[in-house]
Amino acid sequence: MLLSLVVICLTAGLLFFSQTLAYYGDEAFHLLASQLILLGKTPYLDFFYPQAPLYAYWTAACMRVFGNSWRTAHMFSALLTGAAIALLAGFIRAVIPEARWRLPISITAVLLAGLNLLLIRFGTIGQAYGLCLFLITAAFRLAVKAADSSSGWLPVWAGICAGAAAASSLLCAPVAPILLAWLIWYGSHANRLKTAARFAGGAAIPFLPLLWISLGAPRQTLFNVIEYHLLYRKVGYPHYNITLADLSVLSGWLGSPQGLLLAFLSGLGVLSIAAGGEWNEASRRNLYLCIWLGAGLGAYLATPHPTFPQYFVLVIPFLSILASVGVYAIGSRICPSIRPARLALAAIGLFALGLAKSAYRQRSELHSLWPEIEQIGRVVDQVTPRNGLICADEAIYVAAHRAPPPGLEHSDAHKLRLSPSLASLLRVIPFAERDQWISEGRFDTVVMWFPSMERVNTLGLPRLYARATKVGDCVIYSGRMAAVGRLAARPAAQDTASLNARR
Amino acid sequence: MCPRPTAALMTALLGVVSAGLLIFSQTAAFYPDEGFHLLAAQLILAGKKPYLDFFYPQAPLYAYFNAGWMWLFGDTWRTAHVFSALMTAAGVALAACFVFTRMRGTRWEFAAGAAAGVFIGLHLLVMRFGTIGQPYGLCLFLIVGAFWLTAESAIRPGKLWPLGAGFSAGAAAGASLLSAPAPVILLAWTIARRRARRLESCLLFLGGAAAAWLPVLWLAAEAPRPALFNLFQYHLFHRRAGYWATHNVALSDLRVLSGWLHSPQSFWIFLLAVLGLLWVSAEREWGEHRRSEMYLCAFLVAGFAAFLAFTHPTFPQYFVVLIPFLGILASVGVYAVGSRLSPRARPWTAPLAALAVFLLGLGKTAYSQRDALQNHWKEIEDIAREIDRVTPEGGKVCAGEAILFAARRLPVSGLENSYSHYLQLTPELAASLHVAGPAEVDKWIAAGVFDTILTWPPDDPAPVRFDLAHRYARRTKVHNCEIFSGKIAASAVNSVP
Repeated sequence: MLLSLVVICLTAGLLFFSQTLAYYGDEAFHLLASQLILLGKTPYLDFFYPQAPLYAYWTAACMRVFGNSWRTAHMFSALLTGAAIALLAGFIRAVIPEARWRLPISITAVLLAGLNLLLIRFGTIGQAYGLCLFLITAAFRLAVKAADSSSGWLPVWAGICAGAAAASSLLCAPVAPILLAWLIWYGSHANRLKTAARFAGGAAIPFLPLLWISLGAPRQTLFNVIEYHLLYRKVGYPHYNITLADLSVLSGWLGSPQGLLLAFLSGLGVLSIAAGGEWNEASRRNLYLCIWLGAGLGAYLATPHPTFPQYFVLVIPFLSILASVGVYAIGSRICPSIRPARLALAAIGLFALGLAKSAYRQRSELHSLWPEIEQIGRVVDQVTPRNGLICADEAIYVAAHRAPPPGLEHSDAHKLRLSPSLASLLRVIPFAERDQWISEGRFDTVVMWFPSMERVNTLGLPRLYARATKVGDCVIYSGRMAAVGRLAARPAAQDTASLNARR
Repeated sequence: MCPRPTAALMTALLGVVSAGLLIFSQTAAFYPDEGFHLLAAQLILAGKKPYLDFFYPQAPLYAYFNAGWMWLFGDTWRTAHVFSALMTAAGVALAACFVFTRMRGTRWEFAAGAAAGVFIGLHLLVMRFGTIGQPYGLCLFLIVGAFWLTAESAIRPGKLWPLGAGFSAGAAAGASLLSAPAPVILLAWTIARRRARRLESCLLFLGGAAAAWLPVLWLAAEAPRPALFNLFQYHLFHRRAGYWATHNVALSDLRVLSGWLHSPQSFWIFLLAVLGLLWVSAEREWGEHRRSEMYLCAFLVAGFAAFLAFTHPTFPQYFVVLIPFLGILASVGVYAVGSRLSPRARPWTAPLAALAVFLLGLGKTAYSQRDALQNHWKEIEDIAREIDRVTPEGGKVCAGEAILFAARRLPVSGLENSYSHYLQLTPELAASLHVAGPAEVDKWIAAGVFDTILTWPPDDPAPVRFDLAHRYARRTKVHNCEIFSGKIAASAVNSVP
């Protein structure tokens, strides 16, 4: 009862955060992708989208039912993150051997995950983390059950969840192989190979949409899903020492009170599991899976170049389980006389202190720009003709409910250096071409953030547009004075009309 | 039991840590505030007395120790740094040997002792502030020494133990008031622990502490008002003068007090120390005395932390005195983890893992503080050489404490401590304390009192304000500063169109 209450309160807190402070610059292109899917477009084939596609489809489905806004995406991310926390609570409750420790340690696990600032910040935005957290935790729970059960469907569902996580974000790619290896290694019944085969079959199912897209656009799919990440991730950082930045990210946990406490307690948990003692065979085996997943995901997420702190949000559920086992190890082996609730409170209190300190440090980032973006979106929508073309960032297209002209769906794509044929196939246009379109007056509205006078004059905006409206930190140029040219892509205008019609 | 190889290993490890501290002291160690401490030692060497002859808002023993050391080995920053580094190394060795002896007879004596040595000696705060010309190194040695002597005095019959403990603790407080809680906590513990001849032990402890304070008492007897102001009044009422008068001290204090959460090394040894303390509280395997020694460590950590939190403003380096006791408790925490959570593993696996994270923390912190890990003494010495070259024998120099120290030029009375310029005092009190306000210093510059004036362009207004270019014949640029020298006589200045 108390555990459920804690999970409900945490989920409510995550929901509140998702609607007030949650924001990250990169979420916009995910949301825009979902909006484009709602318009009937296909990722890779119709627009550049260097991500696995399932999250965009999932968000599109949510938006169709609950409304086409960032709020819907944030709400579902927060709910799924809350669900992931609930799943890990159930696991830890089952695994702790002593009855008097079960509730305090389960609450500790829940709060070590739910009060983690990384999870709060990135599990509540319009990116794949919330969905992935839910899917990998569910896959973990189902795999644990499947290892003991003779049911044929459990491994299939575990596989579906693990596969869906990887099909939502490639950051979850190692989960399925780790679970498969664990099922083969530790599966306790005679049909372990059959279980593994069912798991593998299940894992393949979520990739069917990707397979289907790749049949229609093999080159584009290959580029967006694989080639971009292997060869082009660094294009956005030409003057930046990525190795140094990666090192800084990889050592970031040392300077984070929450990261260091989680690592410390997890280390104690791992030692306690390795030492055996009070753990029965099944619990140890399941906890080893946690260690495998934590270590495997951690090692894999260290390899993207550049890597980012938020990637490691996916490790948090498993580290929280191990850390709560560490708290139990302190109580059961190092200080058996201590009261469970007191120890749990001390650990949670220290973790909450770390949350406060980190939140204070990151206070400038804990600020949602969506209200400002929505305001800009409203003005853009007002000043642009119904089928007009807009040059703006992804977030403004999302807020204005306007489809971008082909090639402008992803701002990072402009930095790619590709052959003209490949760029055209991938719907990628370079910066220079976009600027040329602006100077030629092809857009009905141009939105610029922090524009310098030099750039405005170079593009000839005062000459091209009658109105310059300042909203927040951006200037909206509208009221095109002379129809110099129209962008060839008329379908974009139709899309805009269609999107408007849906509103 | 095989004490020899482990003792040799321990000696080797402490030798390496000490060598590291010595090298650091001569290469990267620097802190701007060390200038006035070094200048005070130089002034003592010149026969002056703190409080009586110059403003020195510090307990005086460090300056006297330092002056004695400089008298033997020369008055340079290098000798002062060597002194501090040796004292710190000795403090580290004492703490590590304390743990080593308490673990004797187990497989853990070297592992736990080494962990304590590394946790303390390679903590960046200890490295940075235990190796400079400030009292931290001496205090570290004295408080760890006092701690060990107090612990021994509870079980050994001799009179020298409590006397030595009191002397060490008193000397630590006499070297820096930041160590003031040490004698109080140690005395309280002695009262609580010692059953036989409790009163005698306490009197001996107090006698030792009083003996260490004799120089302070002597100075106070000679100049009671200045001594009172420098030792107490300044810290109670005037610490926020100058920069802090216009800044949010409470917010800065809050940042400092929560800073350990973001310091990988401090947070790591804190976590291990808590674990060690939990283990000690539950463990009956250790005798009562050994457990009470660990509680004493915890009392010292808590007492120091509470005391240092109330200095307003407080600074991160103040908390360096907590680290030896946190390090001792953390090494017990490592022992608890190793012996309880992985009893079948070799005794070096848990310490190695703990030390690996600690050393990663050192790397991370050192990298983030890389700008502060720059020794500016080389530049200061260049400037001082130039000042010495252009200033006549016995000439008066207007410059910061570090430069005056490096140039071996005694400052004009009132310029011994730049913080004193910000004090708002009555003229009589200022005169008795040898404090000169900014207006007075300006008057001296305007009156041409100084033969040489050092300025820091472009922000320093003095060259324009006092027309130094026309009043001094030479203008030399060394590093980022400008030196005006070759004072032109007032009549000659007036004849300049």
